[in-house]
Amino acid sequence: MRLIPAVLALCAVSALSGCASFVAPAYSPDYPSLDRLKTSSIDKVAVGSFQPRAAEAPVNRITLRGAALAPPTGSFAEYLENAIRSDLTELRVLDANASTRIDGTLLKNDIDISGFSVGEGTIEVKLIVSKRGAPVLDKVYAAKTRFDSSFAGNVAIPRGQAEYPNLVRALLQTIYADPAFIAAVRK
Amino acid sequence: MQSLVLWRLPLATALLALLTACAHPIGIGPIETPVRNEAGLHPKKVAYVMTDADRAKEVTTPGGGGDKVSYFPYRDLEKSIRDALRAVYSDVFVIKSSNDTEAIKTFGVSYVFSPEITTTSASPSPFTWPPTKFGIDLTCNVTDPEGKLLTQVRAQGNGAAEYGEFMKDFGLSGRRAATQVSEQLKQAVMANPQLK
Repeated sequence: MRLIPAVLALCAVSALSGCASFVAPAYSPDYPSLDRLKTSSIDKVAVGSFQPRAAEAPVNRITLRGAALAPPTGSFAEYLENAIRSDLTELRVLDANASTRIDGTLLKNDIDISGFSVGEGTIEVKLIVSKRGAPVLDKVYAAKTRFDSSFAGNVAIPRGQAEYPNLVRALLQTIYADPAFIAAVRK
Repeated sequence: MQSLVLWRLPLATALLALLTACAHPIGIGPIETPVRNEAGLHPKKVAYVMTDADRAKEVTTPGGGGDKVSYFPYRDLEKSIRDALRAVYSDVFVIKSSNDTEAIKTFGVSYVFSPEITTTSASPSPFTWPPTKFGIDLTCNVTDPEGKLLTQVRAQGNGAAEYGEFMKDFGLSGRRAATQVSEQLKQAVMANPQLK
């Protein structure tokens, strides 16, 4: 009789991990970072199309123990671009016609839950800020996060899924705190 | 042969314990939040209180099949709170305490909202763990810049999600509740004459 729940549990685990695909949760900003930027006289800023866009690009493919983690729309490069757009909208400085422009290329992007106790997120972006077409900042920013993981896929996979917005938040927190970035986007 | 069978039982038990002992993590951030209409905003600036310790608070509540779910209500619902206030007031800031007079003065804040969040979750399913029902109760004490209590606003959100919907987003019922609580908070603030 005890075998039935065991078999059901194992079926559920395989259903939740084997061939399923998961969507990365929506980005949520680090608001203290945005409030600090509000006091820094940020200029109006345009945001270019972050690269690479191709779904098959390695940085746009994340797997969580065989299950695909997909962005809500488009690519992970677009996810990062939209996160920055959302933050600049919150700061009321996003302007498609601004002479200051931010472009980015995603260089690394991964959530690793191969370990049985700790998971790791890794992200790296090359950011270029230009004013009237001339680059004023060309810099690579990186962030890493660590989170509790598990041997059990039905715990590890949702943790990995939930970690993605935290990873992007950590990256943008690093960028927004960088005096070189603030100087590049200041009026 | 019999010893091999004897080993299987503890191994299966240990495996099952590993598969079921932990709470399943979910995210409950809102799917959408109230739209900010620049033309209809109160000109005042407001702040809400949230610390890194609040954001790090992990809560565990029931899921289905006897399992539990865990999540970070303050971290996930910060957007619900902030966007609700941004839909009413000209600017919104986060501060670490309602007594942080320096930040209150720097930002020029008129009201300080201190949120308290309680949550509930449930599922009647014996076989799947994601919650099919989720409830959020958000209460904010509102103080003036000197720390005097002005009023209290309350918002409630309830979300539901069925098996076919939550397979790609295990926290869907929570996200729906978070969406509703954000709109409810906006409505509660707008309806309160002391917060004009």
